[in-house]
Amino acid sequence: MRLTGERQTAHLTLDIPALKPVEGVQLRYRNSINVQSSQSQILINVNGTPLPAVAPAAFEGFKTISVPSNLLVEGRNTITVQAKQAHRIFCGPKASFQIWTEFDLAQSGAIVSSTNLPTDANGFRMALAAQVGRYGRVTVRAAGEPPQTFMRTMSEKLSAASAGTQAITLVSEGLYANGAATHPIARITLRDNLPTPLEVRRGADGAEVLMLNPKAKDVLSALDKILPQSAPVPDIGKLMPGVATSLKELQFTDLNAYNRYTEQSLQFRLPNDWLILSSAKATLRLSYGFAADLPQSALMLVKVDGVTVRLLPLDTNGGKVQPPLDIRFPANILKSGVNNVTFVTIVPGNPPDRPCPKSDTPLMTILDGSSLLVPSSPRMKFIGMNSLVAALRPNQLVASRSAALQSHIEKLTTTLASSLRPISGIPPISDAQLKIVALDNLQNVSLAKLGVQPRTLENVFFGAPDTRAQASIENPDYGFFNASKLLFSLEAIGKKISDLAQPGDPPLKQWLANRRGKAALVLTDPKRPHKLSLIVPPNSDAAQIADAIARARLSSNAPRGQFSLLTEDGKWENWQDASAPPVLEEPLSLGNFRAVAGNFASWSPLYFVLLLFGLTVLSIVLALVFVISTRGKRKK
Amino acid sequence: MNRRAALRTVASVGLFPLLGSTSAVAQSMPNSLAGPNQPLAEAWSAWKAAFLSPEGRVIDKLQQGASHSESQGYGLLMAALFHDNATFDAIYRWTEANLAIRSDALLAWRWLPNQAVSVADRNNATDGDLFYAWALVLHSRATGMLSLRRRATAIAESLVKNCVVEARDGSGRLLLTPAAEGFARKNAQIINPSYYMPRAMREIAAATGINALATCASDGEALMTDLATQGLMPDWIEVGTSGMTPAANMSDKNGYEAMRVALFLIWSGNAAHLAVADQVRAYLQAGTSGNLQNGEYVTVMDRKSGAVLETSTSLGYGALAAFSECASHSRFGAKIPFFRTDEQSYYPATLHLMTLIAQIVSAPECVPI
Repeated sequence: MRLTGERQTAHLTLDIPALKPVEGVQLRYRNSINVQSSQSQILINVNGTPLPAVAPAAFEGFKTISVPSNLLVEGRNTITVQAKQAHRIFCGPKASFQIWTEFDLAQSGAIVSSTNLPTDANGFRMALAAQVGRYGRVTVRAAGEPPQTFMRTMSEKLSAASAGTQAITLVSEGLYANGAATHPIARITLRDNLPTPLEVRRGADGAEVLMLNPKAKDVLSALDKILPQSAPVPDIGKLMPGVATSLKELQFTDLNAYNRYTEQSLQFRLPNDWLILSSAKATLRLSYGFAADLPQSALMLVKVDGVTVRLLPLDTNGGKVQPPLDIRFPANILKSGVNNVTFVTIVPGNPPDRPCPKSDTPLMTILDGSSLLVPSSPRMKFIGMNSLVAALRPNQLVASRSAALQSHIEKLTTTLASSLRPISGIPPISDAQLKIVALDNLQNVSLAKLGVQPRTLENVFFGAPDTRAQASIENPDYGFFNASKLLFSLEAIGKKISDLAQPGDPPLKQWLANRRGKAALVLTDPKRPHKLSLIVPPNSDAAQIADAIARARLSSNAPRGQFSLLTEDGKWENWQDASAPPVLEEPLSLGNFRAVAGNFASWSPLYFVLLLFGLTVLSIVLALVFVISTRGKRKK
Repeated sequence: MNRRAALRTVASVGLFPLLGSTSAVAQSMPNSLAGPNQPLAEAWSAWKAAFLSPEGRVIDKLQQGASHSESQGYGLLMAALFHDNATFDAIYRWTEANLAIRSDALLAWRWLPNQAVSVADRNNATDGDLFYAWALVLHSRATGMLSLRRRATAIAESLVKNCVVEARDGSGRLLLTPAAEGFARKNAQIINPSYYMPRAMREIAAATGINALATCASDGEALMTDLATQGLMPDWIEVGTSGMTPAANMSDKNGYEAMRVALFLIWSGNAAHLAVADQVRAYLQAGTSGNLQNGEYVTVMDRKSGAVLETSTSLGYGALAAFSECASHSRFGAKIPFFRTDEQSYYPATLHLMTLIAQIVSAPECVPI
């Protein structure tokens, strides 16, 4: 965890089931060399009690800040860490990035001597939390390969030891596997002939060992006592379309910008059946203020889902709360599911080649009474996986058979089970399914409907460029008239018309041509919109993929559309079939007609014009028929 | 006919009954230790990588890089148990070429590298011969190679001829001497209790018909019961006309030699032996004394008081203690450390691996947790 900039705060939670064995808490930190120690502080607050300020001085390696045990309580402890940092030489956005304090969370936490840790449920839970926090994996020792169903159940249960956005890898080892240099803090040992369903013991390496008899009748109920059902993961703020919602209601708490470069981000969730493609506007009513006399060129960018929708100068008229400002932006930037609004504050140094003047007041503040109004939409959506991933449950995972990669598929499925904790307020979809498929077994996934072959995916995963898809780029110098030029012109016109008919992503094969990734989520059959496949190559990292899926459930960096590619840098790149029209999920009525028509018109302007033209022609024909037929009657 | 000659004659015709044996019928090792999926495959690979040269020499770096008949015997036994034929052949070939240089069938006890004469002392070490012969018996049984059994028989005959003597305490027991030469005293015989491996002695006897070894095993177990009434097993003890007394100028402590006694007794199916119970009690007492740091294991104790005299961080010594505790209490699951070779030398690592073998074979409930 790195706290960068002039002032940065982080809130840590520490769950302590039993206080007795805890000797204290330690925080391991180090600083960048640019931090001016005499002008900087690390402030720690434990459960509301502040500790004496620490002058950061860990320039050559990690140092320890000790927290006395008498400030701790049984249960959840909140530790707030704030770094106030000054640059030795410079001031400005670049200098802001150069001052940081980094906390090694794997080496920070409650200090408990393994010999003092009780060998009971509390002791195991504490050890498990430390094990997961430090290593992200738990070893399961068993004679032979443990039953996969049991491993998946364990994985799901162990997810209680994490915050819900981190996958836990269960590492299967033989009972006599060699020991590792790094001693585990907790592990699980399975033995069929254990006389009791389970018991907690201490291993020779000091680890708390949960010994389980997986064949005991009542092992699962006994397990519930040691690892109770994990609570749902708290969801981010939900935004109700058509209603102005304050940023406070959307759980936006990062109000003040102290750094010369600051990003304050707000994530919120829109309903799954919200869709606006037309030019309707959303409004951010921004109440904000900024310090007086900020240097020239100080500014704030307001971004919605990465698109800058407003640039606000901060170098004039500061020192007071500004009148509320309505920032209107196209609502079609937003999409169903998780979106974000980011405020980027950039304040140059004045002068840039001297340390910033010391200040305890924020450079810019956003009032949490600011509000966001997103227009309501008819219940519409594109066929896609937007809502599916957040609603998935561990029991909806299916491991496909794979001749060469069965073990890998099973491992990934087990790891995924730990990353699909229910999210508060998001109900499960009863027929949802996530099938994990190995690249060698793509005959089970009908990619033909998406217009790609297994070969295309092999290229995406293994990096070989798809030359056939790239071959059409050429621009020869044609003569005044020849057949090739005419053909090229016709193709260009055809593409323009095609874009007008179906704006959006090109065909999947073309879209994938220059992309590379490490896993793909695919919705192969629009008629079965809840059946998702996760395709993985043989060398994929199960923990990384499961982590990416766990995070995506609460982030705007999430899989959407019909095909989503997880890139090497952990981003989900999404493809939507442009030929598939949006689906209206409520009756068409006078009340929603305009919005529905607007969405269809935006989805395909050409089709919409053709439809209107057809209706017009039909009207004319009907009118002519009526006129002609009535004139004939009068003559008679 | 003197006593030794008489003994040899009786032994050779196989007339000794299997008196008082705790495991009268020799058992072969279970198949669970063999095959590509055997549970100790990873540990065995690590052991070979750390301590075995490609030509089949087991190297003890802490002892000047020496190879002992004992280490060759241990290595050969494990290769036989794991059905690792290539390794068995390599160790066997090297040992036969370099240590089988005595006039009898026994092995010279030590080979040193980088010496003008690698084997300066041709005396044998009984435990090395014993494990070597046991390995030959097991491999012969698995492969049908009669030549190996003949070699084992020759070793057994030489052992009985040169290293099995009658105790001078009037008990009539047969004693296993540590070597053919050097341990006889006036009216007494120095022995090393940890050189007794009852299971090996009985299996060799059953396979070769040299039943004196089985008798010697039973006598040794009885002797150890008597010794246990005096305290923990000693590294060395003198058995003479005045009973069992400390051997002059030799360790009377419960140390690096004696620590093997409990392991071999449990491996032999005799976890209830008094010597095991005493050893376990001493381990538990040391563990609860508060004098042991985390990760420290007892290696040397005072025989009488059980006071800890030396400790080590080598995991193999911890494995011995944890296994003994578990096997003697029949508790499920043992705090046996997981096998590693990066932080322990040849001797504790080898004891560690043999502890895991003994656990699988003789105390399956004591799985490492």
